[in-house]
Amino acid sequence: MLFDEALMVARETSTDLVAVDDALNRLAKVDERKSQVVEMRFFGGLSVEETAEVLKVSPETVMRDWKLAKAWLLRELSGEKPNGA
Amino acid sequence: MERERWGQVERVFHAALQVEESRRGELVRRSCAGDEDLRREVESLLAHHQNAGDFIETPAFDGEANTAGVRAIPAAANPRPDLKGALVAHYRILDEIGIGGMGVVYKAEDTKLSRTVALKFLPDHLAKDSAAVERFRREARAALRSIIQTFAQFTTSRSTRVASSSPWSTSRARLWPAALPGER
Repeated sequence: MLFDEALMVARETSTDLVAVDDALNRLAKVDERKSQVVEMRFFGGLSVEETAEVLKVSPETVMRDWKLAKAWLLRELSGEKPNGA
Repeated sequence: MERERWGQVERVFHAALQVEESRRGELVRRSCAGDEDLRREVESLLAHHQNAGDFIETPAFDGEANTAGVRAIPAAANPRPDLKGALVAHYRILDEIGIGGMGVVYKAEDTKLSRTVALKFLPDHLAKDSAAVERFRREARAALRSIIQTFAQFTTSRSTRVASSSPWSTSRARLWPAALPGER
Protein backbone atom coordinates (compact mmCIF):
# COMPACT_ATOMS: atom_id res chain seq x y z
CA MET A 1 0.00 0.00 0.00
CA LEU A 2 1.51 3.31 -0.99
CA PHE A 3 1.79 6.25 1.29
CA ASP A 4 -0.56 8.45 -0.61
CA GLU A 5 -3.44 6.12 -0.17
CA ALA A 6 -3.27 6.80 3.52
CA LEU A 7 -3.63 10.49 2.96
CA MET A 8 -7.31 10.85 3.56
CA VAL A 9 -8.16 7.44 4.87
CA ALA A 10 -8.34 7.78 8.58
CA ARG A 11 -8.72 4.69 10.66
CA GLU A 12 -12.22 4.21 11.96
CA THR A 13 -12.02 5.86 15.30
CA SER A 14 -14.28 7.29 17.90
CA THR A 15 -11.95 10.28 18.19
CA ASP A 16 -13.04 13.43 16.43
CA LEU A 17 -9.89 14.31 14.50
CA VAL A 18 -10.95 17.83 13.69
CA ALA A 19 -11.72 18.56 17.33
CA VAL A 20 -8.37 17.13 18.42
CA ASP A 21 -6.63 19.20 15.76
CA ASP A 22 -8.32 22.37 16.98
CA ALA A 23 -7.60 21.59 20.63
CA LEU A 24 -3.99 20.87 19.74
CA ASN A 25 -3.65 24.35 18.29
CA ARG A 26 -4.87 25.73 21.60
CA LEU A 27 -2.47 23.52 23.54
CA ALA A 28 0.41 24.86 21.45
CA LYS A 29 -0.27 28.29 22.91
CA VAL A 30 -0.01 26.91 26.45
CA ASP A 31 2.85 24.49 25.90
CA GLU A 32 4.40 24.12 22.49
CA ARG A 33 6.38 20.98 23.21
CA LYS A 34 3.41 19.07 24.59
CA SER A 35 1.45 19.85 21.46
CA GLN A 36 4.38 18.58 19.40
CA VAL A 37 4.47 15.36 21.40
CA VAL A 38 0.80 14.74 20.65
CA GLU A 39 1.24 15.78 17.04
CA MET A 40 4.08 13.33 16.52
CA ARG A 41 2.53 10.45 18.40
CA PHE A 42 -1.12 10.80 17.43
CA PHE A 43 -0.96 12.45 14.01
CA GLY A 44 2.50 11.22 13.05
CA GLY A 45 2.31 7.71 14.51
CA LEU A 46 5.75 7.94 16.13
CA SER A 47 6.67 5.86 19.15
CA VAL A 48 7.73 7.39 22.47
CA GLU A 49 11.39 6.73 21.63
CA GLU A 50 11.11 8.22 18.16
CA THR A 51 9.39 11.30 19.52
CA ALA A 52 12.08 11.70 22.17
CA GLU A 53 14.76 11.50 19.54
CA VAL A 54 13.18 14.15 17.34
CA LEU A 55 12.51 16.54 20.22
CA LYS A 56 15.89 15.82 21.80
CA VAL A 57 14.42 15.03 25.21
CA SER A 58 14.31 11.79 27.18
CA PRO A 59 11.57 9.20 26.64
CA GLU A 60 10.56 9.85 30.26
CA THR A 61 9.96 13.50 29.44
CA VAL A 62 7.89 12.49 26.42
CA MET A 63 5.75 10.26 28.64
CA ARG A 64 5.27 13.01 31.20
CA ASP A 65 4.30 15.46 28.47
CA TRP A 66 2.01 12.87 26.94
CA LYS A 67 0.12 12.21 30.18
CA LEU A 68 -0.50 15.86 30.93
CA ALA A 69 -1.32 16.69 27.32
CA LYS A 70 -3.87 13.86 27.14
CA ALA A 71 -5.62 15.06 30.29
CA TRP A 72 -5.57 18.64 29.03
CA LEU A 73 -6.90 17.72 25.58
CA LEU A 74 -9.59 15.46 26.99
CA ARG A 75 -10.79 18.31 29.17
CA GLU A 76 -10.82 20.64 26.17
CA LEU A 77 -12.89 18.14 24.19
CA SER A 78 -15.26 17.59 27.08
CA GLY A 79 -16.12 21.28 26.90
CA GLU A 80 -15.31 21.78 30.54
CA LYS A 81 -13.77 25.14 31.29
CA PRO A 82 -10.30 25.19 32.71
CA ASN A 83 -10.43 27.22 35.86
CA GLY A 84 -8.05 29.81 34.49
CA ALA A 85 -5.22 29.06 36.84
CA MET B 1 -1.79 30.75 31.18
CA GLU B 2 1.51 32.17 32.29
CA ARG B 3 4.51 29.96 31.87
CA GLU B 4 5.36 29.97 35.56
CA ARG B 5 1.81 29.03 36.50
CA TRP B 6 1.73 26.21 34.00
CA GLY B 7 5.02 24.96 35.45
CA GLN B 8 3.41 24.80 38.89
CA VAL B 9 0.45 22.90 37.51
CA GLU B 10 2.78 20.47 35.82
CA ARG B 11 4.90 19.86 38.92
CA VAL B 12 1.96 19.16 41.20
CA PHE B 13 0.22 17.02 38.55
CA HIS B 14 3.23 14.74 38.16
CA ALA B 15 3.96 14.66 41.88
CA ALA B 16 0.39 13.49 42.45
CA LEU B 17 0.78 10.71 39.91
CA GLN B 18 3.79 9.43 41.84
CA VAL B 19 1.67 8.54 44.87
CA GLU B 20 -1.19 6.14 45.32
CA GLU B 21 -4.57 7.37 44.23
CA SER B 22 -5.90 7.46 47.78
CA ARG B 23 -3.16 9.89 48.80
CA ARG B 24 -3.36 12.24 45.83
CA GLY B 25 -5.92 14.61 47.25
CA GLU B 26 -3.84 15.19 50.32
CA LEU B 27 -0.65 15.65 48.34
CA VAL B 28 -2.29 18.16 46.01
CA ARG B 29 -3.74 20.13 48.93
CA ARG B 30 -0.36 20.28 50.62
CA SER B 31 1.53 21.13 47.43
CA CYS B 32 -0.84 23.94 46.55
CA ALA B 33 -0.52 25.48 50.02
CA GLY B 34 -3.81 27.29 50.02
CA ASP B 35 -3.72 28.29 46.35
CA GLU B 36 -7.26 27.14 45.53
CA ASP B 37 -7.08 28.00 41.82
CA LEU B 38 -4.01 25.86 41.45
CA ARG B 39 -5.60 23.02 43.41
CA ARG B 40 -8.75 23.05 41.27
CA GLU B 41 -6.75 23.14 38.06
CA VAL B 42 -4.58 20.19 39.05
CA GLU B 43 -7.52 18.17 40.36
CA SER B 44 -9.46 18.81 37.17
CA LEU B 45 -6.54 17.56 35.08
CA LEU B 46 -6.05 14.55 37.36
CA ALA B 47 -9.71 13.64 36.98
CA HIS B 48 -9.40 13.74 33.20
CA HIS B 49 -6.19 11.75 33.41
CA GLN B 50 -8.13 9.04 35.26
CA ASN B 51 -10.72 8.96 32.50
CA ALA B 52 -8.31 9.23 29.58
CA GLY B 53 -8.11 5.47 28.92
CA ASP B 54 -7.29 4.83 25.26
CA PHE B 55 -7.94 8.41 24.20
CA ILE B 56 -5.58 9.23 21.28
CA GLU B 57 -3.48 6.17 22.08
CA THR B 58 -3.98 4.78 18.59
CA PRO B 59 -2.43 6.97 15.90
CA ALA B 60 -4.98 8.74 13.73
CA PHE B 61 -3.38 7.71 10.48
CA ASP B 62 -1.78 4.37 10.06
CA GLY B 63 0.53 4.29 7.09
CA GLU B 64 1.10 0.56 7.17
CA ALA B 65 -2.44 -0.70 7.41
CA ASN B 66 -4.15 2.33 6.14
CA THR B 67 -7.18 0.72 4.62
CA ALA B 68 -7.97 -1.36 7.69
CA GLY B 69 -10.63 1.02 8.85
CA VAL B 70 -12.24 1.64 5.51
CA ARG B 71 -15.53 -0.09 5.22
CA ALA B 72 -16.15 -2.22 2.22
CA ILE B 73 -18.79 -0.74 -0.03
CA PRO B 74 -21.86 -2.92 -0.49
CA ALA B 75 -22.67 -2.98 -4.19
CA ALA B 76 -26.35 -2.34 -3.60
CA ALA B 77 -25.63 0.82 -1.67
CA ASN B 78 -23.47 2.16 -4.42
CA PRO B 79 -25.53 4.37 -6.68
CA ARG B 80 -22.60 6.61 -7.53
CA PRO B 81 -21.56 6.92 -11.13
CA ASP B 82 -18.58 4.76 -11.97
CA LEU B 83 -15.67 7.16 -12.04
CA LYS B 84 -13.08 4.58 -12.95
CA GLY B 85 -10.81 6.01 -15.63
CA ALA B 86 -12.20 9.52 -15.27
CA LEU B 87 -9.81 12.46 -15.14
CA VAL B 88 -10.38 14.89 -12.27
CA ALA B 89 -8.02 17.84 -12.59
CA HIS B 90 -4.75 15.99 -13.25
CA TYR B 91 -5.75 12.92 -11.30
CA ARG B 92 -6.91 9.78 -13.05
CA ILE B 93 -9.32 7.74 -10.98
CA LEU B 94 -8.15 4.15 -10.74
CA ASP B 95 -10.38 2.50 -8.21
CA GLU B 96 -12.76 3.06 -5.37
CA ILE B 97 -11.01 2.32 -2.08
CA GLY B 98 -13.88 2.79 0.29
CA ILE B 99 -16.02 5.12 2.27
CA GLY B 100 -14.24 7.23 4.85
CA GLY B 101 -15.87 9.24 7.56
CA MET B 102 -17.71 11.61 5.30
CA GLY B 103 -17.09 10.81 1.69
CA VAL B 104 -15.85 8.39 -0.89
CA VAL B 105 -12.17 7.66 -1.29
CA TYR B 106 -10.70 6.76 -4.65
CA LYS B 107 -7.30 5.52 -5.55
CA ALA B 108 -6.00 7.80 -8.28
CA GLU B 109 -2.91 8.48 -10.32
CA ASP B 110 -1.32 11.89 -10.09
CA THR B 111 -0.49 12.27 -13.78
CA LYS B 112 1.88 15.17 -13.18
CA LEU B 113 4.03 13.50 -10.53
CA SER B 114 3.42 9.89 -11.55
CA ARG B 115 2.44 8.70 -8.12
CA THR B 116 -0.56 7.17 -6.50
CA VAL B 117 -2.77 9.33 -4.35
CA ALA B 118 -6.05 9.03 -2.56
CA LEU B 119 -8.82 11.41 -3.50
CA LYS B 120 -11.67 11.90 -1.15
CA PHE B 121 -14.90 13.34 -2.45
CA LEU B 122 -17.61 14.94 -0.44
CA PRO B 123 -20.94 13.30 -1.30
CA ASP B 124 -23.26 15.43 -3.47
CA HIS B 125 -25.88 15.81 -0.80
CA LEU B 126 -23.30 17.30 1.57
CA ALA B 127 -21.61 19.52 -1.00
CA LYS B 128 -24.38 22.09 -0.57
CA ASP B 129 -24.08 22.00 3.19
CA SER B 130 -21.61 24.73 4.11
CA ALA B 131 -20.94 23.23 7.55
CA ALA B 132 -20.09 19.90 5.95
CA VAL B 133 -17.85 21.61 3.41
CA GLU B 134 -16.07 23.48 6.16
CA ARG B 135 -15.63 20.27 8.12
CA PHE B 136 -14.30 18.52 5.04
CA ARG B 137 -11.75 21.29 4.57
CA ARG B 138 -10.63 21.03 8.19
CA GLU B 139 -10.42 17.27 8.01
CA ALA B 140 -8.05 17.66 5.06
CA ARG B 141 -5.96 20.06 7.12
CA ALA B 142 -5.80 17.56 9.97
CA ALA B 143 -4.57 14.91 7.53
CA LEU B 144 -2.07 17.37 6.10
CA ARG B 145 -0.77 18.02 9.60
CA SER B 146 0.17 14.39 9.86
CA ILE B 147 2.09 14.44 6.61
CA ILE B 148 3.93 17.66 7.28
CA GLN B 149 4.74 16.42 10.75
CA THR B 150 6.12 13.16 9.47
CA PHE B 151 8.16 14.98 6.86
CA ALA B 152 9.55 17.43 9.40
CA GLN B 153 10.53 14.54 11.58
CA PHE B 154 12.21 12.88 8.63
CA THR B 155 14.34 15.89 7.80
CA THR B 156 15.33 16.26 11.45
CA SER B 157 16.33 12.64 11.79
CA ARG B 158 17.72 11.96 8.38
CA SER B 159 21.18 11.05 9.66
CA THR B 160 19.76 8.78 12.33
CA ARG B 161 17.65 7.04 9.80
CA VAL B 162 20.54 6.40 7.48
CA ALA B 163 22.80 5.29 10.29
CA SER B 164 20.53 2.69 11.79
CA SER B 165 18.29 0.13 10.24
CA SER B 166 15.48 0.70 12.71
CA PRO B 167 13.04 2.08 13.52
CA TRP B 168 13.06 4.44 10.59
CA SER B 169 13.90 2.29 7.67
CA THR B 170 11.39 0.33 5.70
CA SER B 171 7.89 0.90 6.92
CA ARG B 172 8.12 4.64 7.33
CA ALA B 173 10.16 5.15 4.21
CA ARG B 174 7.00 4.67 2.22
CA LEU B 175 5.39 7.48 4.09
CA TRP B 176 7.46 10.13 2.37
CA PRO B 177 6.41 11.22 -1.03
CA ALA B 178 8.81 12.84 -3.44
CA ALA B 179 6.90 16.08 -3.22
CA LEU B 180 4.83 17.32 -0.36
CA PRO B 181 1.77 19.45 -0.54
CA GLY B 182 2.67 22.86 0.82
CA GLU B 183 0.63 24.30 3.62
CA ARG B 184 -0.94 27.53 2.66
